[in-house]
Amino acid sequence: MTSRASAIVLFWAVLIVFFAWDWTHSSPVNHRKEPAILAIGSGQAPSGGHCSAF
Amino acid sequence: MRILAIFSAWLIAFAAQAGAHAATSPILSPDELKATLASPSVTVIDIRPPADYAQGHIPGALSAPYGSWRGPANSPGTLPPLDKLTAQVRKLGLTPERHAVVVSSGADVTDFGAAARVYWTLKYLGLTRLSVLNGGMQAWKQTQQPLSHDAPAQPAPSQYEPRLNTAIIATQADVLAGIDKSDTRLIDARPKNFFEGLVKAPTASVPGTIHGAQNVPHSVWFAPGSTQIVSAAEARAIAAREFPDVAGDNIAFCNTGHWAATDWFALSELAGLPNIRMYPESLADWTNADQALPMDNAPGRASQIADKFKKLFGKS
Amino acid sequence: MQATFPPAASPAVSSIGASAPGRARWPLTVAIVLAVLALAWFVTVRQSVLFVIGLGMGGLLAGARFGFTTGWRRLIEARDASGVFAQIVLLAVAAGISIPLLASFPGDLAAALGPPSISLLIGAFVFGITMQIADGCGSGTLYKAGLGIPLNMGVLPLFALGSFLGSVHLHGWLSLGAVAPVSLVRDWGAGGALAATFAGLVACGLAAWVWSRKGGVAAPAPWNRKLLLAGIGLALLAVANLVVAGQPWGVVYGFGLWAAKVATAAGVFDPAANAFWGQAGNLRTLEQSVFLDVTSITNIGIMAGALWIAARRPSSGKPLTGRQWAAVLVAGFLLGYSSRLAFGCNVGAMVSGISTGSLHGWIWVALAFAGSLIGVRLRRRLGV
Repeated sequence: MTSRASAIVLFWAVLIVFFAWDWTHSSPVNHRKEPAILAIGSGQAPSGGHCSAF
Repeated sequence: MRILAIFSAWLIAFAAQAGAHAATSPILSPDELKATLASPSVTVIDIRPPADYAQGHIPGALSAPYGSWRGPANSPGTLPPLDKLTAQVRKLGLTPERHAVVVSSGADVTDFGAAARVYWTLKYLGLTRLSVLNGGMQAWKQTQQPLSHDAPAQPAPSQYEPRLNTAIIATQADVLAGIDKSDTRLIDARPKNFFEGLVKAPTASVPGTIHGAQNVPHSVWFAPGSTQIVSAAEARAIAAREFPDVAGDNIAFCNTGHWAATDWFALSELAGLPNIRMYPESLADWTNADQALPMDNAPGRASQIADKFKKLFGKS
Repeated sequence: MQATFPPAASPAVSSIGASAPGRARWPLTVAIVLAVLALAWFVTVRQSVLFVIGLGMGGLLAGARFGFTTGWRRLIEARDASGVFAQIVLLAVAAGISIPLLASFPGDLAAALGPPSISLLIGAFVFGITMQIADGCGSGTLYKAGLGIPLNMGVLPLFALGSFLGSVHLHGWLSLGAVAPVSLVRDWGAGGALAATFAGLVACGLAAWVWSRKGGVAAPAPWNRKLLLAGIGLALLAVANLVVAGQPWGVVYGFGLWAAKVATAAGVFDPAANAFWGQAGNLRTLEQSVFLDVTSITNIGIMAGALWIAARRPSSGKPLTGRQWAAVLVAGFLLGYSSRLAFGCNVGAMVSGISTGSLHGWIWVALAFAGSLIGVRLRRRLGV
């Protein structure tokens, strides 16, 4: 494998390890509170974090 | 003659006085209530909507609509803040000595739950001389009892300080601790289709019941076609049939602590069983908790996903 | 010197080979499809849809090499307005759909409303400088990292660290001076907001046109079909993001979140004690999986979409000296830090801010472009 390809593999390996760690260390997903697929027309205000937040 | 009149008046007053401190029955028939109305220590609380109250109420009854005893629209089972409940109780002039009689419309068996819920609330606040009018205003009108249309004189506000009866209430944490405990019995007071997860109330986020619960629909306490709850003896028989064994802790719940109040009332007040509590916020609270709390008969992930797509296309 | 655009088929990448990417494509496709299904099953359907939207964004960004950074640099250095024109078209399409939707669904949809502030001025300006040195803005860093370009893969963790520290210090920066966000939709309605936005975009287009014609040199035609189509596609995906998530496309928050989680787990950061992360919404986001976070899931989708493109058409990057690496990594850190101060990067502030009628988006563009004028020169001096 070229160094370039191994860099890509390393990059994604680190990402996947981070996601796996995060998944096991976060509170479980509560499917009872799953929002509607589309926010539009759902009647629920968005509650996600976004970049313009302060 | 005059001595006889004075003596009779004194005798009636004495009887009323004695009656005022005698034990109260949790259930009163319309005739029994009419007899009790003579006593000066009775407060009749009409929990129907103000419009219905204005069209005719029991003479001397005070209006305290059901909604004023309940929580917000997304969780009506939540108790209002203690200071609000205290203010309401004081405004009604209630004290531990007064005999409070809760009157609802009596239109159907579900309506009994409203009266039972208010009864439960008053008992939770520490009052003990409580009754429900069996059959509500419907039974009152059927027995040709008098109706009043004027606003009665407002009673003098009391200074009642609530002493919370925590033995009859269960919190979400209590229920969670009780799951899988062999000595705790969780009682789902809703009709069978709710218990089996086929139907869901708007306030609950998912259908189903609390894990390990037993279904005792609130309607079992009524004879078919009747809106009057069974007698104490009949309630004991039904309870023995539903619960052959005695459990150390029994918690009744439903969607919003309305139907559950009927089950609680029948088991605790009529059948006289010990250790009967109610989880007032019930499933509206349980299903909307931040963590997914244990449930039975709740839809699996596949049907949840299918449901989400159905809602998507149902909208458009 | 064409160091900015990777050559289409360079001998340097033949070592990866034409066959290897072809082989990698199918397993990668399967992995991505499985990821989509797993997200729907284990997380939520909405997050799975947002991941797919991110895949589309990554595919378009990488497939068309749609670099905001590069587009600005080409205008500044080569008088080539094609990238900037494609960005203007992107903004026009996104605004044209988003603004009326925001006006019609005020409860369900939120605009990207950042406060005009001292931190915005400083942050946008520094972002404009550093994005040229780090050869990538927010979306650029993501898609180029997905493509496997080492420079951008290296920038990513520093971007995250910078964004996290920016959020930690944000409260202090805001105290230097800030006013309430200005929402054109709220203040002028959909019609007024659209008119103002289109007028602003036309003005930007004219300015770019005039600049490209300056100097009398025969400049390249400003209409690049691939970039224009990609711009329209990205705009539609940005609208989809808004419609599904209820909030506009964002990049920077996700990275700050990842670094915040690591810092909290390592015990070096207490979120409850911080003005930004102590807010109820942010605390909740911290204790949930990143897969539930909107900007995180689209970021992952963009990288995966770009990776999928790279599997067929790998790209090259120029090898850098140690000194150049150091400069780039410092720039990457500042990129993250400044984008937090500026309430977004090119995506969160420019694209999302302008297309949802926020004044801060316009301020961001003006200052970031001014910064890029300097950044382009610094970049040449570094030889990056």
